[in-house]
Amino acid sequence: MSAVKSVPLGQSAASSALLPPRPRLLTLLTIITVVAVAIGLYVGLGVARTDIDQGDVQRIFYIHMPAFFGAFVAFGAGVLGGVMYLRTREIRWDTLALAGVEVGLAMAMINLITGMIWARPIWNTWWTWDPRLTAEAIMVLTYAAYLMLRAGIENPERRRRFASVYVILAITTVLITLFIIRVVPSTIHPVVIGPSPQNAVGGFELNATRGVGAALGVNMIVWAALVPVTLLWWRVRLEKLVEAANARKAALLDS
Amino acid sequence: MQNWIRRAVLLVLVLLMAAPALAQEPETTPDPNATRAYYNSAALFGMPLPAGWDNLSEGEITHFSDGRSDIYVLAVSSTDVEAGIRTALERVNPAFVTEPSKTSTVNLQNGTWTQQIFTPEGGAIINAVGQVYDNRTFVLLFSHNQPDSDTYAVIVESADVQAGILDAAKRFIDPDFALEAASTEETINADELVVTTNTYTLDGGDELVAQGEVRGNFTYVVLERAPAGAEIDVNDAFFTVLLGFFVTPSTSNYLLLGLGVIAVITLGFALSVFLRFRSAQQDLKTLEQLQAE
Repeated sequence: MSAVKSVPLGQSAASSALLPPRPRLLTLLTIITVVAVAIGLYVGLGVARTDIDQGDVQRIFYIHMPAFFGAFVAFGAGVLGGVMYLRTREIRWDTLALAGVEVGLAMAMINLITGMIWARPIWNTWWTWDPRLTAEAIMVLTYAAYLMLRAGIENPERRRRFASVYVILAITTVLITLFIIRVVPSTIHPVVIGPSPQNAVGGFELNATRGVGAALGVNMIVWAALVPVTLLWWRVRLEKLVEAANARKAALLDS
Repeated sequence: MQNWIRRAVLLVLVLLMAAPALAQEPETTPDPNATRAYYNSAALFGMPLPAGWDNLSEGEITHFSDGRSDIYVLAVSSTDVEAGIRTALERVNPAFVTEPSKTSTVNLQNGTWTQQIFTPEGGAIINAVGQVYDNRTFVLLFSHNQPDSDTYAVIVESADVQAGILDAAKRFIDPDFALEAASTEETINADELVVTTNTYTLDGGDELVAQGEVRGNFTYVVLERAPAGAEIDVNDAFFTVLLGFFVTPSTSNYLLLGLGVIAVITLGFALSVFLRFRSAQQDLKTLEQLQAE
């Protein structure tokens, strides 16, 4: 067997010299995540019964809501990365923060767009300036701005410091989005776990339709834990490779 | 430590594998008081069939009856609500010619609803509500078929239940309506609805029962006028047409759209990571070649 063939999939000889070999746990986690997504879809689409009020579109909730918590997990990793970078100045923490924001943004986009699609038949509109929706839109824009501002700062040390402070402050938008439906009574966004505000439209009881609780529970494990963690891990590995390539480029230019 | 993590991950996988079985809860005897779902496959919409009501639907005409009241629900091809309501009435009764005696609109959170009242000679009052949705007008017709009884179900813009009832009474009973309620009671049911019921004795000796509940900035009101001594029961109108009734057009296409979006974003992100990984590998290869030269 040649040396090139012995390099794991997705890792060339050049990158393998700079990146530690892919952990078997990551491979295992990736396989588990793919299988779990399939199981989650099967439970949500095939096992849980159709909601009496909303019809099939209610099944979007099985991914819509967990995706928000997935974003929360990823943005939380971003905060951890930011705090630890400011404390230690180790680049790996900044890498984690960047990965957290990118993955969190993808999960938040799933949450936001699936919410809009659900709202069309249930609220009869794609969008309304409801407190929850407005807070989420601000949250997404705040994190999108993080990526743009980060790309706009040349000095790496300054960029990492700025990004760390920003990502710590930005978590407030996530917390506001999370709790706003529990403190602003005028919202029409329903609360799935716990009583909905009086004006809420489109809520459903977990135990009203058979399989709803199970479908939500399974997909919560999948979309709020497995998917974001797997994507985070891959994104961190990518960033490490990019940083290594940049460092080598800089070294070559210096020489 | 790594072994411990591996075992935990495997346990999660096993639990996930068991999920479809766990989700299949045992079949239980249906609760006779529970609302059942009805899906009109000819007209492509679903709705609840209230407990105690019979389903007399035929084709695209959904018809529920409890012996005292009738509910018809239709979806007609029209983007003009009033024309849609007229078409629906003609489909239910081709000989129907009565013009609406009242027309109003109300902007609820789920869109603008048109409310019309029809008072056919010698027949029961018909309460009609309609809304345009996806180029069809969904029309709900309710009539309370009790002799000498007039029933009106309406949503009025008022955050105060008594003001809402008064507004409805002025619209449907008497423009100068200013009677004090002979009795008022509040009912709080299991769904935490606070329902206020007023009873009045009208000048001609008739009795009027008004029931109202505030939701946001609106009061949902049912009025029933009947001769003294007649049995008055406004619950059918209140808890079916106004509060418990809704029409759900087929929403499967929105589910498919949502799943498509989820796939595009998730796979798109994974593909983007993969392509950037490959691009970084290419960069490193090129840099190594340059270094070697």
